[in-house]
Amino acid sequence: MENQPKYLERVERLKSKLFETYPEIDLEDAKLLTQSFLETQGEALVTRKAKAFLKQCREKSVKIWDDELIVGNSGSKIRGGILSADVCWSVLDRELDTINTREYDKFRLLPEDKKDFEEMIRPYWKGRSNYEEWLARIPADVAALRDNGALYIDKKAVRGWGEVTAGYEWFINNGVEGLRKRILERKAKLDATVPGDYEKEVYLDALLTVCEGLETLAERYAIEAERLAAKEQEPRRKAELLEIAQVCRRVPAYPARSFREAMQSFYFYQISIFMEQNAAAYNPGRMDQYLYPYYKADLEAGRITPEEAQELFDCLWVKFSEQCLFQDAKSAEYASGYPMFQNLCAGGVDKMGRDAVNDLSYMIIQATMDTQLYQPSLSVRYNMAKNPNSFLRKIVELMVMGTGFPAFHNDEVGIRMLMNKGIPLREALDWNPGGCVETNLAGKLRAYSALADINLGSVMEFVLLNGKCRKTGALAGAQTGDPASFATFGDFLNAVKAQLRYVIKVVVKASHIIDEICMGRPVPALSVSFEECIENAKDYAWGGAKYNTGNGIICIGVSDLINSVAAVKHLVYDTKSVSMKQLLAALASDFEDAPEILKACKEAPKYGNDDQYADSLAAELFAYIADEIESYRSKFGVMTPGILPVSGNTPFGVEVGALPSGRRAGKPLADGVSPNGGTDVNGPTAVLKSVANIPHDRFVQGTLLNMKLDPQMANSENGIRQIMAMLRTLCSLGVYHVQFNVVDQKKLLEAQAHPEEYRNLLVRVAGYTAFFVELGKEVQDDIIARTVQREGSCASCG
Amino acid sequence: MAAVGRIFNIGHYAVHDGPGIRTTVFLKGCPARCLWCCSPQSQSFEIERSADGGKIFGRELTAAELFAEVRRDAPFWRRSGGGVTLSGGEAMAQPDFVMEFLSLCRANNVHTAIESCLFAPYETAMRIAELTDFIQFDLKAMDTELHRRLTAKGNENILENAAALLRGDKPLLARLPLIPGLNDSEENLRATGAFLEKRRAGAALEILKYHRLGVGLYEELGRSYPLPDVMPPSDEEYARAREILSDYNIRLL
Repeated sequence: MENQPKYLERVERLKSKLFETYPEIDLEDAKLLTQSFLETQGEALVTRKAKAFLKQCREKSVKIWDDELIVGNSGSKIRGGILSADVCWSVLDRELDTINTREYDKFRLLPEDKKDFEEMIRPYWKGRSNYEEWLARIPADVAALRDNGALYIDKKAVRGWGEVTAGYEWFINNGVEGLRKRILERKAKLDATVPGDYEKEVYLDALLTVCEGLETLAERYAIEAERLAAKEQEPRRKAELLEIAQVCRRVPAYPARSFREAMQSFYFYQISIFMEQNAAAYNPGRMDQYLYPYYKADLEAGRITPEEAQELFDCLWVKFSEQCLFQDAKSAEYASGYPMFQNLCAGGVDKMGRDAVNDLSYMIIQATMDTQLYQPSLSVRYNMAKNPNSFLRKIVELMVMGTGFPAFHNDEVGIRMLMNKGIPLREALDWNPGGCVETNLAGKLRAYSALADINLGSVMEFVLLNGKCRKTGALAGAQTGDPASFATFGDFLNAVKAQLRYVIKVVVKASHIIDEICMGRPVPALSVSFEECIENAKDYAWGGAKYNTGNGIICIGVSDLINSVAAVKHLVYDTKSVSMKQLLAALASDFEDAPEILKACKEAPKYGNDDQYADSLAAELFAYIADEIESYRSKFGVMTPGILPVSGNTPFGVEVGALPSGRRAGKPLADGVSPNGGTDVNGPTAVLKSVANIPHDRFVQGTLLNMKLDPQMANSENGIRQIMAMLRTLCSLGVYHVQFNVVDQKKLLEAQAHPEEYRNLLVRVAGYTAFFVELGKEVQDDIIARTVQREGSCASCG
Repeated sequence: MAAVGRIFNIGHYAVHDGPGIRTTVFLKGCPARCLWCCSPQSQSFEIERSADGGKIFGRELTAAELFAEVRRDAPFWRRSGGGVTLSGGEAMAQPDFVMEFLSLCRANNVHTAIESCLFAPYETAMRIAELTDFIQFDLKAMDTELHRRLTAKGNENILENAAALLRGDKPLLARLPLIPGLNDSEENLRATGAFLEKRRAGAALEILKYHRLGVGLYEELGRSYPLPDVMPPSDEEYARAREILSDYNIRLL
């Protein structure tokens, strides 16, 4: 490109460094944590966590890469998989020899790191991690569901908290100075003779230790920048390094005074919470809102140009992509592609309910256009009533670039979801998408937004096999009777509901156990940006945030369940063309001996075609699931449903035999609320109409819709305008979210065959974007197989 | 009694058949037999089967049933300024059904468009046009003998209808399918430009490039493709046609 802005040269250099780096296990933080824990035996756990954080800040490697403007790294490597030893040391133990050969999300492990792990980390942490606690306490019925592929629930035990939006705005505006003042004020009110106040004092002291760590870390970056400046020959880079030093001396210790300082302050805090516990979905949230006052002031004072601000955004985007999620092999199957889910959002309405779109909203989208990286996970809140058309247009312009970004969220539904979590409208207006498509509220809300995934394909299997798993033959579900004895469709539907009721109940129980284990997982560095955690002198983990809800229970295989119930209703009960016995026999042989039944199953009504036969079942079943999940409370609040598959629909599919929908054994389940690939034949409008039958706003942890668009549909002015109109219609229909892959199948197949030539090909997996070539083969195949939405008419020629 | 119509397909999310997001209804049956026709299954008024018997082309329904089916897309029409497009086959060849359907649309404030060759009696064409918001029609060849060779029908009533519509004030789009060697002579192009310019200065004309996407459908129906040797126009041929037509006071799309 001849006209590309000058700053893109820097961004390209930063990016190539990233592409050249192979992900590596990074044990530096874990080693420092372990050493610190050896030094602090006997102290309160939260104190020990805070002191370990301080030690990391004091001793971790501090590196500034060439060309960087925004600095900081949570570990010691560019693409490091950071182990949270206190959470899940044993994951690495189990995979010590296979982590670089496993199918998904490989990491190189250097021999010296392996040695440190074996000599220092393992001996100390053996028997002490959250993951081991969980494995020791998991009840038999939960284990039965998990081990028979009906439930995936270990992920919270194998990585840190995540799934949270810290109070970045408050942090940046006040600086550590302001936070410390608040902590000291709160501490002054304590009386050591009052029961409970001692614990509070211990807690607040831990927060003060964190404050010291944050200041120390930034100071060390300032020193490193000066060191590099002293030996830098090139005058321009020298000046840049000196500016970096200046910025790091100021923030996060003090309130930011400029756009640049605000951004650097943000990033220091971001790496700090990763250091404390590596996890997915530390969501930067509404960056166009909290950075805007700084940008506006700088712009008006002539301290910054839009181009300089854009360069800083682009540099930050490269930093976001340095992080690599460390997780176990199983979890990596369910969310492959090193997904950090740092969900960053533009648009929506402000805290007064007015249009919140500003210059930065556009720049944030532009940064993703410029960098085309897999992080941050870019989301938009589109408020049809308030946001301008030009914003929607910018969104579509990014969509049609084919990077899978942004995730499009219908703002009004997002606001309702927050309210349905129990948050008043006044604050719900400020919501942000988190992780995939979950809903969050910066600095105010605690919950695991996606605690457990329920395999709805297994649920259907339990109905057909009276509680048994087809693959293992083991009893894992409820015993709802021999389906051949169900006289009416009503009987059959009742059995489906009974299985759902059973699985949900078991998962809720498991969630309570995880909540209990997580009481022993305080995160003072994260909590320090939660105002109410200071006010209540209570950690995020313990429910110190202003709002707490029950954990998220996620449903996978939505379309498979709907289509299976619809097929049974149609074939067995309505047309009586296939008996239940014949159907069961056909399913048992994976349709091998019954091609005519397979054909009938495939031709039965399908979700995704705007057909009320299937769609009314979607409405009924998912209202029921929401009712069931909402009927439970945890000690933190009402349990919360969601529909987001990450990439779990593929490994879940492996566990499930043939289904009445006509899906063959072992094939991937449908993702999110999307129809099964190839079964929606009436185009995108029919898909959206069907999807609208699911009560989106009740699935408060979000619902995810994937659509693949033929590039032909998006390559003209008219095409762009009609995609805009389609998105507006999606909003009127009350659908919550959509994301598009605008990549033709040919290109994906080529990339599969020649990965080396497609290193930078981004695709939307499900709620996140990853480099296609870094995904496992099954996930790649699933993406290739999703139905491509084309225009509805044949090419006309008169 | 309610008129029964025959259609062979409904296309959703059609974005090239008029303004906005449209639902395009393809009516079955056409009086013409254009050599380049890309949808041979649209030609016969009868319900047909594919050669292997596996597929059925065409079904019957009343105007009210059709309206109930297409109005499911109404949310998309509202947000995009779209509506329904009747295509074919030839919509004007099922006038009672089409008029009843268009009246239903009008009564429900649904924007309508029609894609027609205008081969219909004058009265019929005018009554249908009256009920339609936007009309796209073809000018395949200006000489009636040439027209007959290419489509099996002369063009007298087509030109009469086109002229009447052009003199009116209805939004129109004329379309010229450009088939190399058949209708792209300078003479035919100039006659087309002059015809439009004379009846409506600034009339819109879209040149559609001939394509061969229908070849597979002929095979499916067990028929041979009528133009085995004609290739789509090259960029140069297309540019030349535009160049010639740019001499006239019309708006080329």
